[in-house]
Amino acid sequence: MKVALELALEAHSVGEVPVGCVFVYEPTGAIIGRGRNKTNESLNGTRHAEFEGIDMILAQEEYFAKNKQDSRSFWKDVVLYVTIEPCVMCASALRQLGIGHVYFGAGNDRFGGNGSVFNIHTDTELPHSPYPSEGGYYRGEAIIILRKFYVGENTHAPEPKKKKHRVLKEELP
Amino acid sequence: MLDQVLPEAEVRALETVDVYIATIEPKHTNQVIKFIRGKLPATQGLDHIKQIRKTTTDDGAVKLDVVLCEGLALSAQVLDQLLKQEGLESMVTPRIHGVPKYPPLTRDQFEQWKAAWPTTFREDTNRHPKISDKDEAAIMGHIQSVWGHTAEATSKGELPIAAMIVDPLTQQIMATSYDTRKSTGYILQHAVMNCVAAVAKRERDGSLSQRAEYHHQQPHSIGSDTVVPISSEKQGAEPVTGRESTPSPICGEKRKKNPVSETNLSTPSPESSASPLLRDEGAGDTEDRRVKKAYLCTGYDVFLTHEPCVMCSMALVHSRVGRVFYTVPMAASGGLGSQHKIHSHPSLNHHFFVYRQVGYQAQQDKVKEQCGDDSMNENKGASIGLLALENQKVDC
Ligand SMILES: [Zn+2]
Ligand SMILES: [Zn+2]
Repeated sequence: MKVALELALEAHSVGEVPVGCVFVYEPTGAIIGRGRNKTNESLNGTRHAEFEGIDMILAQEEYFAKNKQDSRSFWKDVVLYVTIEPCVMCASALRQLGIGHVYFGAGNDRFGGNGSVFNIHTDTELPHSPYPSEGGYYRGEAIIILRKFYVGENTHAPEPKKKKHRVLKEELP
Repeated sequence: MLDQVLPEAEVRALETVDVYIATIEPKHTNQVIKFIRGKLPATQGLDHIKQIRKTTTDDGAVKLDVVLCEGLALSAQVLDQLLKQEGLESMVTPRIHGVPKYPPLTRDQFEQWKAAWPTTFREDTNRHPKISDKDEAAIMGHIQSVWGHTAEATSKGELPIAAMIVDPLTQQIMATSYDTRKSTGYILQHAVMNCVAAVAKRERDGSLSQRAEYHHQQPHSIGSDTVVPISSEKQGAEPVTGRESTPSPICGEKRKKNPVSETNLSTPSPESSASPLLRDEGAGDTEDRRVKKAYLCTGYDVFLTHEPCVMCSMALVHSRVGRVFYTVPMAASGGLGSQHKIHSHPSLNHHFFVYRQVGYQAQQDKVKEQCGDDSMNENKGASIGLLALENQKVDC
């Protein structure tokens, strides 16, 4: 979770909404993917930290092979640590992959797909299996980083304060 | 007539909240109203409820039913006490009654709910935009063209799911993609995700080239295995010059205004095919630029063969699209009408219009044609076209 927070700070330093995440492969305990929000840089509103992390995992031959061979049994050994609750999009993506477990920092009452707005992780109607998800880990830190972004402490951030408020609210992944 | 997927709030059945009402003589009205305003707690969130309704007793006498206050606001004893203090206890005998909890949003709801208690109703035409014949013809053309891409997908061993993003102001096709989860081994590469990525890629590449050239630049292939090349042959459709057929979606002022709409309305020209982003940069408006960049699909139309999964539905929210048209509803997985209505969820900050079963009949006819007369033969029909994924537990 500490690494995820550092990634959130990195996102903050380049004017992205500060969300960071790491994926850990349980059998080895190794961090196999990390990501931070990249929606502005990519011009793509779907490039959330989680997707950056997933892509990083699949870019590694070893894990790509595992994923290709039996995607479900690979992803059930993968745990996600993310500073902010996954949004509805990411929550569904994680479900489709078959993620083993999700731990997040602060809830996301705008977009949250793991309990705040939708319950994509526990929905019994949707395809694929539900997955466990727990929030509140380093919640304070995650919120402080968001608040920094909100207050505009970072001089690199291009938007004036008035806009920033909206960016924060709308773009929370 | 396109089948709009209405927000849950517009199709929900009557829900009631308990209030105290009393049947009074018309001549006591002023006295009772004065008591209500002066002594009773005001109702919260029930502004749509009419205070008084006319009622006729069995013997034909006209009386009035009056809303006193919310059931939870006071106990019956306290209410009786207050009535006694004002000397009204003989005129007003309170009882509990259920009134509509929410304001009716459609005429249907208004008509059905008024039996419980009369409400005010103002029809909001922005919720159900009229689609002109011309617009509908263009929509049907686009949906047919997106189905055209499923053959290529199938030929490459992919699922026959395709997506196309169109700028409704110019009818320019911004990107076309199909599902690539099979060939890439990356199960999240759905048609919508690929298409949104293709628009972003195109914009990133476009920003690098000369702005002046951009206007004349043909859409180019995307050199990535994750996206399907933008089709260029469908270019040059007649520009639509009016926007009366596509008013803002439900969220109204919350929705970001399409940055090109005003200028385009007044000066439609072949040059107006520039993206909102480039136009804004040209105008020197840097203040909001980064925000717009991430919302690259603001106001765009999206054409899909299948109802998107929850992930893709939310990706369309993040991309700020304007309207989505799809042919095949996905009962088990769909996020725009079947399982969820992500396009109109009250907590989400962007809403868009969704139309389902667009071009469904045409696709069904095609299946019939290909299968011969016993087209509903399951073995045959299930493997092709429209029916290939319908009723399956697949995320599209
Ligand atoms: Zn997300
Ligand atoms: Zn999808």
